[in-house]
Amino acid sequence: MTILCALSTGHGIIIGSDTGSVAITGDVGRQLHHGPKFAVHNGWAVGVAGQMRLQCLITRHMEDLTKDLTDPLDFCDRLVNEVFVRYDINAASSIGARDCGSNFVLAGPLGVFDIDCTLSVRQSVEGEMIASGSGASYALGAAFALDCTDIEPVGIVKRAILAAIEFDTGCSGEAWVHRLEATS
Amino acid sequence: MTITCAIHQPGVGTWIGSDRLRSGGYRIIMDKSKWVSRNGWSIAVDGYARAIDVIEHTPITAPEVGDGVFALANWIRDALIADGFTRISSDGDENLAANLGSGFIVATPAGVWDIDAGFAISPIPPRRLHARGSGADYALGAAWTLRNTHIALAEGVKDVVFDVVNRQPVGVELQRGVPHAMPPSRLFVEVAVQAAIEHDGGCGGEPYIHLLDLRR
Repeated sequence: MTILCALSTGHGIIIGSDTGSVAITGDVGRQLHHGPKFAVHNGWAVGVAGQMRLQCLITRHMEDLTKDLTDPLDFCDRLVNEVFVRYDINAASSIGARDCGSNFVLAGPLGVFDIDCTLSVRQSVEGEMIASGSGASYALGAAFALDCTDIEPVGIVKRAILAAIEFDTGCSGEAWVHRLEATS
Repeated sequence: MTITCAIHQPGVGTWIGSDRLRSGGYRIIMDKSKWVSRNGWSIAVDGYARAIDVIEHTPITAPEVGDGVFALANWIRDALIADGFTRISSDGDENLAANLGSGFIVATPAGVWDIDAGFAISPIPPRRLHARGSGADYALGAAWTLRNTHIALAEGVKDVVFDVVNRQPVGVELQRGVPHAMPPSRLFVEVAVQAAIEHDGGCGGEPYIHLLDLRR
């Protein structure tokens, strides 16, 4: 229940997310302030749409997940070995491929990548916004509407997140936007 | 697998729009929209393609606009049931409403209403785009963002159209830092339908856009 956005431009990568989360107690969901849903480290950003626990673990292991990263499949291998195996994250196989229950956005020096729950990877082209999570459709619609405008990429990502927060009951909090800086 | 949308603009009328794709185990671009007119009502259908055909051709006369939307909802429900539509059962749910698997937007020059698959009626406020179908989320995100973005008509421009080839509005000048100026409702509908066609595999074809003119 999240919105993650990443937009690769000629002048860098803009990432963003909502900051709310839902804590389930029994049958009751409560809106909580959670904070940004991207972890940023070593010039890389990893966003998680799905399980909060997974995001916490990824944040903790960002050094292991991103140091000298060669490509997005290298990231997926590290994710399995450093997080899934280590913390006994179960992956269902009801759809054939192993489904870890969360989707990811990986952004960094090699580009912006949409990684689905089976760890299938797709790279975005420059100028194409990647959106993931329950609010993705609203965000993509917003980005489409602004595609031909002179609004800065930061503004496009922020408005996309705000559209998801406006309409998607699983998105809440504030629109967090960050320009990803390259490491030296 | 559809996008249908409508927005009422006080003093002008109601803009309606849709895609033209029918899909199931096939994909057909139709030579018509997903809106049909019956007795002063404009009715859009998402869900089963047969439903729109039934509404368009049923020989029973639709209620007058003056009879109200509730009468129209009952007429739609009765026409579908007479054609053999049956209630969709849902395991574990009470399923008290007669969910026939299709939803509707109803529009007149004076307003917009939602009729859901259980035939509940929701009036839509003026100046607010309403959308239904598999592409609705894209459409709502696009229209809401456009509405909340500083935008102004270019000098001397009276109308706005959407350039399908270049995927951009023609006749608008987007400016940062200028006072908020509301773009025409038509632009909301055009961009909303285009956003759904762009992203939703269940939407396709040329956008259909039409004004139900209040002055006629």
